[in-house]
Amino acid sequence: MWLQHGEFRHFRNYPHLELDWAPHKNIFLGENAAGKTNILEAIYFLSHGRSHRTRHDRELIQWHQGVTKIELLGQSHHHGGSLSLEAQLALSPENSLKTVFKLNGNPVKSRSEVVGKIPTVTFFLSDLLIIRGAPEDRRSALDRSLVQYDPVHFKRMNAYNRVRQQKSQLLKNPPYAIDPDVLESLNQQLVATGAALMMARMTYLQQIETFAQPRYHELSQGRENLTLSYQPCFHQSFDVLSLEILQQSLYEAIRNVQSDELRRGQVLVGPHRDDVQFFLDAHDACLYGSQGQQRSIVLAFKLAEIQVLKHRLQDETTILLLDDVMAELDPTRQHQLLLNLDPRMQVFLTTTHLDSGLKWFIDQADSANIFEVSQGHVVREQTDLMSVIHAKSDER
Amino acid sequence: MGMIYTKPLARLIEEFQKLPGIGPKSAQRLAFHVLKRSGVEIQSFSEALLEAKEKIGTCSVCFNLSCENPCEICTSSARDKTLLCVVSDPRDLYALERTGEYRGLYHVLHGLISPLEGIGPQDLKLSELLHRLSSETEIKEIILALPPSVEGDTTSLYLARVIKPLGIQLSRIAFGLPVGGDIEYADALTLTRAISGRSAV
Ligand SMILES: [Zn+2]
Repeated sequence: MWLQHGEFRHFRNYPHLELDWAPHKNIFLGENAAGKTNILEAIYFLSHGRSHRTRHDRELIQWHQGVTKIELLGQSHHHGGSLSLEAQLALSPENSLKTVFKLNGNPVKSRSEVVGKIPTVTFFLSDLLIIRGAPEDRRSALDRSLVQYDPVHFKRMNAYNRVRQQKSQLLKNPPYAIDPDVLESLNQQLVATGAALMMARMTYLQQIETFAQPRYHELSQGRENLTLSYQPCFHQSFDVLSLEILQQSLYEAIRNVQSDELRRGQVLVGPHRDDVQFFLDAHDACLYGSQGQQRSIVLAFKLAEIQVLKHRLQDETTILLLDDVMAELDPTRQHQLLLNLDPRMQVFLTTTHLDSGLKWFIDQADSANIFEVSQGHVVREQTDLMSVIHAKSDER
Repeated sequence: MGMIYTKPLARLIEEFQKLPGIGPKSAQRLAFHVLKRSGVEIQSFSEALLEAKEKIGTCSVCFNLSCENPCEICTSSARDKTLLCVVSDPRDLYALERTGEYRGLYHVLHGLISPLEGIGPQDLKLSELLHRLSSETEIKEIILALPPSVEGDTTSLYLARVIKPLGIQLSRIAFGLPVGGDIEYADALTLTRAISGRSAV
């Protein structure tokens, strides 16, 4: 899949923007806060059915505007078919927000129907910090990635979150004394939805590990081995991958903290508190890994994501969104990343400057567009660099 | 808004706008439509509104909407009185009736358990259901026909817990479309059976 065309109306800082993209490399060049990330966010929004920057869709609407439209037109590399995806966000006079997604011109009943239609792997600046970040960052990085591999995961998360919110409300602010049968009914649902969520995460993490290990091996020149481990909040380690055992363990864990939950008015056990751990040999990379090692782990993880997703898509290619990461990677890791990418893959990349690594990357691409971004304006560049590239491709 | 509608027109638009799913534009369209119709038609329309409101009440047995109390279903001799189907909303009852497949009795809960909306078991027709089960001893089987949403499942699980000690057979049918369409969900009752041996609240 590659995106041919994008049109945004009243989206973030863009009143109206129409862009034609190159099938391979698209570089957005500009100062910080110029609006480069907004373009990637629009693609992310239609790929994931939500923004990675906010939970509130209304923040996507340009200041003082009432209706936002994001339209993307994609082409399949594989069978040549085309795909159009659209999101329309409209504020009513009563200030309530209505979001409608359209797939090939037809409104869909639920946004889950658009998730994964534009398969993307995202690599953002913030991803480089997840190893040392909060468990929540690691969980959401895993869920974000898993949703692209298995779009049903979007529904799993929604179902679990709804049950958790119901239980949390019951514990927090009971209008009457808590009915033990209501609590137990919610606990059973928490187990049903929670175990399904955990199971999906664990299975996916194993797949990622399989592909990430050799990548890490290369990056560290064989100095140490990477292992990934899913850490349920109630259990030290978990090797079993039987749904039934998982359900039982989760259920027992919930029963064990019941009195604490009632006292504190919080949902204390469930996959919303789980974590992912990264080990180099036997050492926890969060505690003992150097910054360089941590970045290599994230890079290996991202490269594995691309490979695992490619598995699902078979002959179709994924789209890679790279936001501000290049400048943060040293030349070796930058090279490792760029070298490992399928040349057919469409890449959207933001950067503040073109260094030699990026110039090489653009240079060897079959097609490349460079867009200069500044304060709500995006101009396709016709620079010397582009003419050099065109001259070179003519020679071939 | 500075609109210069004549007063009765402004009032009519305002009333239409109070209806669910009707925004200012639709309300205006409906109001102008009313003005175009004949007096007889509008007379009949307004009478229908008043009559429905005056005559329709809820059945004190099953809580279905009805002009009679008890309702036509509860008093019908053609109905299988050993079978009771629990629904959350009268609209679900009508949907089941339209299929013509079901010949038992109903019980309408008028809602689903949802702490987020402040709805607990005491806000539903649940104690009335339990009372029915103890007084109408013919009832041998209960079918739960609640929507496959988190709230529908919570209510089903809850009912399973409180009905189970009565020794009445309980089953569940998949019914309706998921609310919001975003819930994909294993049959929670299967799970109840799997772990019920371990739970003791
Ligand atoms: Zn009745």
